[in-house]
Formats: sequence, structure tokens, C-alpha cells
Amino acid sequence: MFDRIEKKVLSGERLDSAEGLYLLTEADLMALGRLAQWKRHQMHPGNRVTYIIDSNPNYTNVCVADCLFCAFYRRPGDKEAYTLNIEQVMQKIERAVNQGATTVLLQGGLNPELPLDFYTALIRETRKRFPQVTPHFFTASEVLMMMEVSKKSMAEVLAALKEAGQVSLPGGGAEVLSEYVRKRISPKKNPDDGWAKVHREAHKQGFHSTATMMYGHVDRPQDWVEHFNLVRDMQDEAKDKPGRFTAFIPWSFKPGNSALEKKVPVGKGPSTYLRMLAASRLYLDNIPHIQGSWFSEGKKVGTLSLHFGVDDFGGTLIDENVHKATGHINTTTLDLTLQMIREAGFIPAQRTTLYDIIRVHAPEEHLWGQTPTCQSSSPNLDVLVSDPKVVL
Amino acid sequence: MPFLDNALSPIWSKVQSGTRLNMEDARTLYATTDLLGLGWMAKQVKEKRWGKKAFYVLNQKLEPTNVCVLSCKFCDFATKRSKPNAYEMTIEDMVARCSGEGVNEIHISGGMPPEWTLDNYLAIIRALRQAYPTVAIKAFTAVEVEWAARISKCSIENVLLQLKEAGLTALPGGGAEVFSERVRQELFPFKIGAATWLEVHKTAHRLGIPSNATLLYGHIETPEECWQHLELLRQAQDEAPGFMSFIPLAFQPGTTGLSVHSPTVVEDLKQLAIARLYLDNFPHIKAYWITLGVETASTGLHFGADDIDGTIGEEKIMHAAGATSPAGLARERLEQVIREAGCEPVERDGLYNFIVIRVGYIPYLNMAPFHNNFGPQPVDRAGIHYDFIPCTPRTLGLAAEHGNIDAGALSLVDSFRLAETFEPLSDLGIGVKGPAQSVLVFSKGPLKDLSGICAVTDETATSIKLLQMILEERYQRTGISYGRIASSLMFDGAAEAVLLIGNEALQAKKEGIPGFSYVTDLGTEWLEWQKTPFVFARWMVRKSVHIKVKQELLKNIDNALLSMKFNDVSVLSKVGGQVEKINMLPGLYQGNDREKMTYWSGFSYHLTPAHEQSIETFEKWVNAHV
Repeated sequence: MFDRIEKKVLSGERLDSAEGLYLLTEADLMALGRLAQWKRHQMHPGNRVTYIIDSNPNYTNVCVADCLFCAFYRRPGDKEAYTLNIEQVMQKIERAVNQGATTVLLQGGLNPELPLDFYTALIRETRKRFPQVTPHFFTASEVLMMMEVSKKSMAEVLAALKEAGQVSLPGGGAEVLSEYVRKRISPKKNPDDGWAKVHREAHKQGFHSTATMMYGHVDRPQDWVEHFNLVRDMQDEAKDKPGRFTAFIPWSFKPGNSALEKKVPVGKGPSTYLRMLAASRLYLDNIPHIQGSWFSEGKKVGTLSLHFGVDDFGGTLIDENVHKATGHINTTTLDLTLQMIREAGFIPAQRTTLYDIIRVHAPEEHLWGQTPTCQSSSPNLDVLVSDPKVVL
Repeated sequence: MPFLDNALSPIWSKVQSGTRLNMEDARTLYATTDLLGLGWMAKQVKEKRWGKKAFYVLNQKLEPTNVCVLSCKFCDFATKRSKPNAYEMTIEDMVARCSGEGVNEIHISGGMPPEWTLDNYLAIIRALRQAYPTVAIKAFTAVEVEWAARISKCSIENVLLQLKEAGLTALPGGGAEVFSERVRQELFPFKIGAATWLEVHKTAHRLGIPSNATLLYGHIETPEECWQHLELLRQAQDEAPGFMSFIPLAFQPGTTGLSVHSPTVVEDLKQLAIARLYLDNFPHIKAYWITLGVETASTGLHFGADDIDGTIGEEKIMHAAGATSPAGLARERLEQVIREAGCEPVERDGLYNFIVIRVGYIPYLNMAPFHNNFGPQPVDRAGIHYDFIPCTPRTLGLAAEHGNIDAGALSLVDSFRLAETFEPLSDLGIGVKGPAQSVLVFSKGPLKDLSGICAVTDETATSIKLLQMILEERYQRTGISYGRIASSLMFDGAAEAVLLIGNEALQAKKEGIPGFSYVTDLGTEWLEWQKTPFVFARWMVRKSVHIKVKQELLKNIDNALLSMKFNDVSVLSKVGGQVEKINMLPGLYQGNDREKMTYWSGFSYHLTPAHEQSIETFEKWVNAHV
């Protein structure tokens, strides 16, 4: 089976569901990883790994979705519930901007008290005050909530966000997109195929978006294949549309403090994560970027992920609350991000939300047993890219 | 799938052909950016030996004291008696500490208090042995053994013997640090150096005390010093086999002030993979989760490691230096970590005793019938793990002698030589009545007139004796010098004759050697002379192997031979596939079943009284001409 897959990959043929399932379950991880890394170098020649300086603040933790895997949300009226006003959110964004952020992934809970104007005002204010920042705001679930509170259609809500200045949509809230999984973990979020509908409409209106997957709870490998198929099909459909998926970002479920913890006490480990990344690189042949993360899997596994088909290392995540609530603490600085990319043997390059390269860092010798001294803040060591090309 | 880094291809060829890697190869592997290419090779080698198995042990770490006469710069654990954090457990405490259910290995390491004498060390072992008669006690690094010898004015050998008598099972691998005099002067000038460490371990091995070996990396050592370290370990294992596992230890900087961060994950995995490829005579490579962390240890199973150590009731030394891994892992968690990496967890004891038998096998065409569906990949049958180790007839004898092989078709002279520790496995062997087909002398003139130099392949053990006997006794040719050559390719024509065996002989017969127009088959020579068949090899098994394991082994080989129906071409093509897989010269007989069939039908795989008679004649001559 692997020989057949290898032949197909080398000749650029598309893999089918049975082959996808084989890669996600039985294939030798090292052989799979080598093939994925070959494909990654085909698609992204050069030894660069991109990253973004970003922040993930939350404007509210009030949520009515009651997802079993979530440790962050509070029900309306809970004494730990909070909702920030626009000024408070701007302060958070300003803090991130001062640290060099070029993108802000703003998300909340699903708070039924907030009107559509609140969301559009957040976008407008951000655009006005921080023109250097791309607002990568609101997941599909929040868009559905906006439709509910505003009694407007999906197209109208997305058009309003677009008109306010939003150009890209984060892929959160997808979890594992299979009927089997949705029924079991987040029955209220994503009714029917809400996530897919929102992203389809967003692509039609010219938003770029990311596709994510949170695995390792009640899902089975066949659910992963179902998810892969949906994402790949949607990207095919988006061929003639002004927007599409830029990246696929998987991460594992963290059981700490969530209602699912009793059922799933231990999350999936590094082998599953590396397998997921490598398999997605080969299977999702129309998605340009596969994002690995030090954030969800730890710095060591994150560093290693760069050898398993990954070409992007995600963000520096200045402000993050959702994973933190599960007791999964993982914060890093820009220097550490650069260090991890270099330790893996790659050249770090800063990108924007839409994968334009802003600058390429100078390659740096890293001697055995010595601490690399990261010089990211020193401009003479960096090569500024004068003519950034969209990598999409 | 080609390697992303072309430099890996020649190394992979070496690994596949069983050629040892050298320091230059280690340098190349360390420098490669193709991390997965390196890891993939190491995993292939691991799986060839152990399949999907990964080992763990339920063990208890015991650190009797932190008071130490030494002051090694990289250690955060040791202290002086006068300091408030100094402690010393009583023997009762130590015994109590190891009472955990299911513990089958106790691992002792700790400080060396200035007041202790050899009796203190012996008393600890005796007390534990008395309390836990069946538990493996892995205790005292070479540093402590040497110290005990010094303070008690005994030899190292004597101290080891006393410890063994007291109940010691094995030596742990600690204290090796890095075998570099430069590093030693800098970090631990008062600790024993490489020569003493290796001497202690080799002595232990000779006394029947197996041990482990470590390498502490990630501080001030250079990569070059690491490869030197591996080279010395590999040599020591050749000289006095007894190392069970190699454990690269990632340095934990803690407050030692030596380094600001631990080695990177890439370095950790490269160390494991390079060790697996370089240390071809070490059975186990351990991804020690205490220093690596659970995630990296689990990932390490994809990079050549086959063991993640144990539950470690309590561990202090690494944690004093800030290791963040959980201080004890339950069995369920260990098994889960192993399964997550796609491996099958196997609980072992302190000596890696689960039933495993190491079968040496010779990848010659005439051996193929023994391995029809039985090797060269490891197989598990009836609860026994068969590990197949490729050898030439000559290296098989050496491996058997050094305790690295439990069974195999030993070259006849080795079966004589090792008769004290090995016994014949039923009537299995390789005999010929007439042409041996692959034991050939190529000479410039007729064999009976030979003089001068005779080049001899270094793969042979028996054929050279046979040739000597024929030349001396049948043709009265004395004064011939026999020179070993590494392979027929190196043969430069200075000799009057050349003896080749196995696949090399088959190849040479096919292609001919220019100038050596006389080809003599030693099997035919023997028959014409002695009128009996000759025996080249005999299946031998180590006497200490359990009787049931011997019976199972015999059954497997008998079945392999039974399923070879020499006149059935359809079976042959199946076996032919097997042969191509194990053949050192692929393509030699490819696609020619009839030729193979003829070749095999010239051998007897079960020996008869006529064979025994010829063995006796030969043995007599060999013993008289050592």
C-alpha cells in the first residue's frame, strides 16, 4: 500500500480515502514523514519556515454552546463570566501591536447578548487605529451567532464584516467535521454543517480562511478522513472564488478541566500529531500551507513537526486564554520561536496573515551544546524582503 | 524514496550490507539536515532486530546517599556531609523503599561518602538480595567500583567478585560521562577516566556481570568527542561482550551553571539514531524518558530506540537539576506511551530476560533452505523471539565465542573449538558428497603442484583448514603461506592461488578470475581422497539455552527444510524470493530456478553416519595441527 501511495505522491496524483486512512493509521511514521517532507520541499522550495507575530485575545468567555471539550467558557450569569467593551479590546490589541503583532485572532464565546454592531465596531476600530494589523476575527460559530442575534442571512452578516474591513476568517470551531463526532461533543455549535457553510460563503465573498481540526476526543480515524475530504472538496470548489483556505492547522484535544476529561483522561501524543501533519500534507494536495505548532504540542514536538511536512510555525500568541484554561500553559517569545525553527535546521521568515513574507532572518550557526543567541531584534542580521510575494 | 540528503545513501548501503560505520559516517549523520532520513535508517535497523517491540521495566531507583567525595561540575545532586541537605538512608530504609509491588529491577546509584568502606557497598547488596531474592540488582557505577577497590586496597576484579557473590546482577552505565580527557580535566578531574571505566566494565563482563553504557551529552563536549566515545564502546563490546544497552543522557543544566538550555530535541533524536547505527554490537538503545521527557522518549522509538526504561519509583539526581518529567510513571502510562508510538510494549527484567534466542545466519545461497520462512527478519513463535544476526562463517564463530549468538550453523572447526559451551542441534548441518560448488580454489597451475602464496577469503573458518589438510596430506605441499584477503576484489594477483567460498565463489566461478584457469572444488577433492562426504557446517546451540527453546528451534528448522521440495519449481520460486532477500549478492541466481535447484540438491542438510565419520577424521587432523 505504501509503495502505491509513494508512487502516486511522486507523480502528483491525488490520494483516495482508503489511502488516507492507511496513512492515518498503519503507515510507518518515518516513511510517511519522509514522503511528506519531500512534498513540502516540492511545494515550498528553500529551507524557510514561516511564522507570524500575532495575539489571540478573547472579548468574552460567555458561551452558550456547552462544548464538552472546553474549559474556557462560562455560562451567562456565572460569576466568572466577563465581556470586554470595545475600548478594553483595543487596549489588548495595542499591547500586541507594541510587540510587533501583524495579526490578531480575536474570538469569544458565543454570547447572545452582543449585537452585530459590536462585532463590526471591533473591526472598524482595529482598522482605524492599527492599520498594520490584519483582523483575523471571529470563527464560523460566532458568525452563526451573529446571524441569530441580528436575524440576518449568512451572506448579509459576512458582507457586513467585510464592509467593516475584515479580510480573513480563522478556522476554529471545526473540531472534527463528521456527523459521528458532532453529535457527541458539540451538538449546539455548528448545527448541520454550519462551519462548512460559513467558510463556503466567506470564500465566495473573498475572505481567505484557515481550516483546523481538533482531534483526539471521541473521534475515530475514519472521521479524520471525512474531515480531510470535506476540506479538500471545499478547496476544489473555491478554485473559481476570490477566497480560499490558506492553511490546515490540526491540534490535539487537551482534556484538562473540561467535561470530557473523565471520558478521555489522556490526550493523543506526539506520534499521532506528527502523523496527522504528514498525512495532511500528502492528502490535502490543494492546501498550500500546513501549520505545525509548538503551542498545542509542546516545544520539542513543535520543533520536530517541521520535519513532518510543515512549512509554517503559526504565531507567537502573545495573549492566549483558551488552551491556558485547560491547564496547558505554553507561552513563548519571538526569540524562542526563531530558536525553535533554527534548531530544526530551517530559516525563519516572518509572514502576514495572508502569507506574504515580511522578512527572512539570516541563517545562524548553531553549535553543538551551545545556546544559540537569537538576534531577531537586530536589523542588520535580517534580510528585509523588498518585494514580498504572496505565497498563496 | 531517495534521501533528501544524498550523503546518506552510501551510509545506508553500508548499513544494509552489514558494514560497520566509521567516525566519518557519524560526522555525516550528525551534520545531515535530513533528520527523518537518519531516523528512518535507525528505525529500520531497530525493527530488523526487535520488530515492533519496545521494552520497559518495573524498577525502583535507589539513591542511598547524596554525600560524595567528588565534586563534579555537572552534578546538582552531590553534597558534603556538613551541608543541611545531606542525607544517608539506613539499610532498612533502602529495603523498605524497594518493596513496591511488581518491582523486578533495583537501580542503585548515589554519592560516595568518604567514610564508606567496601563493606558498606556489600552490605547494601546483601540486604537487598536477601529481601528480594529474584529481583535484578543493578548497582554501583564503575566510579563507585573503582573507589571501593581503592579504599579497600583490593583489585577491581576482586571487588566485582565480592559484589557478585553478595548478589549483584549488573552494573549500571553511569559515570562514563564523555570519554574525553579534555572534558574530564575540565569537569570531573577527580573522577576515573575512560580507560578505567572501560576496564571496570570489561572486567565485569568477563566475570559474567553484564552492564550498560551511557554518554552524557549537551554540555561542553564536541560532537567529535561523542563519536570517539561510541567508537571506544564498540571496541570494548567486541573485546569483552556484555553491554546490554546504550543510554545517551541528555544533560540537564539546572543550576550547574554549565549550559543555559538542555540539548535540543533534534540533538536528542540524532544521538539515539546515530547510536543505533554505529553501535551494531549493542542489542538495546534506550530512550531514557527521565532525561528526555515522555514526548521525546516516545518519539525516540521511531528513531532507533527500543527501550524507554522503567517506572522509576523515585528519581532524585536528574530532578535536582530540574528535569521536569513526572517523577514516576505508572505501568499503564508507560505502555500507553509505547503504544502511541506504534510499538508493542514488552515488560522485561533487569537483564532483558524475556525469551529471546539470537540466531547467527549466513546469507549464502546454500543456507537458504534453513531459512525458508524462518528469518532473516525476526520472528516470534511459541512465545520465543528469534533474532537473526547476519554473519560470515568466520564471524559467526567469533560471535558465538563472545556470547553474542546462541545458535547457528557453525563452521565445522568452530563446532570443535566451542564444544564446551555449544552442542549439536540434532543432525542438522551442511554436508556434500562430491562438489561443494561454492568452496573453490582458483589457481594458476594444478593444485597438486601449488607453492608460494595462497590467498584466502576472510569469510572462511573451515575451508582453509580443509585446503591445508588436502595440500599437506594428499599432495605433500608444505611451506605454503596463506594470506587473508578482505574480499576477492582486493586480490592483486601476487598469489599463486585463491580460496573463495559462498557467494563470492559462485560469482567467481561464473565470471572466472583471469590467469587462474585451474578451478578445484574441495568437496570433490575430499571425496576422491577419503571416499566419504565432507561436512562444512553443523548447527550448534548454546548448552545453557532452555531445552524447550532448543526443541522449538529444531522444529522451526525442520519445518523450513520439509517445506523445501527440491523438485517442485513452484515452491522453489517462492523460496527463491526469500533467497534474493537474504542474498549478499542479489541477482546472482535470479530467475534461474533450475540452477538453484541443482545447487541445493548437491547438499545434505541432515547428517548421516558417513558424515560423522568424516567429521571425526577431520577433527583429528585439525586438533593435531592447531
